[in-house]
Amino acid sequence: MKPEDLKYSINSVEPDDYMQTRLFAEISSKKKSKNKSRKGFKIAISAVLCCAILIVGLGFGIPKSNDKVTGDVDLYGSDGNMFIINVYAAENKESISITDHTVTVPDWKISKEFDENGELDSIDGYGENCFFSISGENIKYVKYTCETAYLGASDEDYKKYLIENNEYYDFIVPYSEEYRLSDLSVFQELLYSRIENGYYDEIVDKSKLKPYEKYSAAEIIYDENGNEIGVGFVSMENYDKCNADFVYSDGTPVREYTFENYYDKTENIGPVIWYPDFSFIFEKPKTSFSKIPHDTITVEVTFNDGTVKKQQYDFSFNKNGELVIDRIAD
Amino acid sequence: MKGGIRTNNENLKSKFEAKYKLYADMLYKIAFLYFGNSYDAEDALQEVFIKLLYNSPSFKDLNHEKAWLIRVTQNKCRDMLKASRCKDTSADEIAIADFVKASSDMQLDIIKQVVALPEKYKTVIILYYYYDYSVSEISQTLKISNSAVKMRLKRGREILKIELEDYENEA
Repeated sequence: MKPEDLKYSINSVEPDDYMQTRLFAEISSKKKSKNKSRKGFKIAISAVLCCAILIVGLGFGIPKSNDKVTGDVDLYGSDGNMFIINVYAAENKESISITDHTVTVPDWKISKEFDENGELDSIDGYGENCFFSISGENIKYVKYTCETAYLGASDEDYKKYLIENNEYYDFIVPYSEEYRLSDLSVFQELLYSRIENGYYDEIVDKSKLKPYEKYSAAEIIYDENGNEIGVGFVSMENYDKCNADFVYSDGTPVREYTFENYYDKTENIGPVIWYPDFSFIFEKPKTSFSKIPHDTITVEVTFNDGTVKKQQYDFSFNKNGELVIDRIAD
Repeated sequence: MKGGIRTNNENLKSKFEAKYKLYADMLYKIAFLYFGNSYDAEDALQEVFIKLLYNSPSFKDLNHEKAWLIRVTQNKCRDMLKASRCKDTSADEIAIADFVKASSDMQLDIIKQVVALPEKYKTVIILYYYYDYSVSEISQTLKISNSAVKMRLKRGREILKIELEDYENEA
């Protein structure tokens, strides 16, 4: 079998002509029912976490449905400023409470798969399913850093703030019906050339126009009724201010991100994804998971009154591959 | 715009159509090769598009969006397979021929064998051989290390080579 044979074969797998119609019918009807079921959903979790189920309170507890009582509520001093770190794992529907500073997260479990020759095939059970965020009052900033792993952050509050202050989009041009025919990204180059050719001279100051590659994906802007009213061009610089995922475009690992609490949220501030580094296991495949170098997550919270509280957490795996989070003593 | 006013459903439809044109074929191929049938592949795609339309992060560019969709599709397929306990379903038991337009027995057999591959090999095989992704692009897309990608490619290739030995000799 040649690679081309594989290509031709996969090419013969294609959706039928009516799948688009069926899918849209299902999607539009499902959305209605989803909206209904969300009305009573009390816990504010971000869009990316809507499927997150397991919540672990570290430091002091978040009331849960089971009977366990969680730890000390006064871990962070008596000045009234305190925060909780919440860990979310995405797959299992069980929830647990924490009674100690060391937490094992059984639903966040990794495993090794070996082939018959004893070579490591893969490490399963990780990916975009370990999130953590901060809850607390009077929080101004939350800064996360890690040492060996990678972080993923999508700062929706910062984006919203920049948009509200007219700082997010470099410029906005009117929406055109032709963009309905395909994805806007497909039209972005055409739109850019129109701008270059003076089509939007009344709107766009061409002296401030950046090279095309300096713009991220253009975004459709809607009015309050959900109608498209414009297309916003976002500079890579602004995009990168609000988004950092795994590695930056130059390959540098994302190991630090600071969220500003623009909207005085008290829950789910700055959800970040933690991507562990498993290169050690690939180098020494037979090594126990418990030997994977630990990662230290530092959470530094700055409160509105200027008080700064810092707490470190040791992230590791036990021999069973379960994530273990240990609050490092002050 | 009809009468200057468009309903939310029209907005949704136009957004869906745009995304469908861009990604449906690729995501369907991936999902189909997980399940070996159109019904489950379509169910998976439905969930993926719901997530894209209602619950996705903002994307840097099309490649970023595509990578996210590939990961979501892969995870959705895995979840569905776990839930339905149909992981052990043999490709031979499924009438794959009913769903594909293979022009030869060899093409059909290749698809069957890709469907029968262990889950973790499928996406890397499809991305590498069908979509011509490099190892590092696959690593970035799936957020797994280069060595994991190489390992999966190697093992996937070996399995296909063994299972498709007859065609190997013909080639």
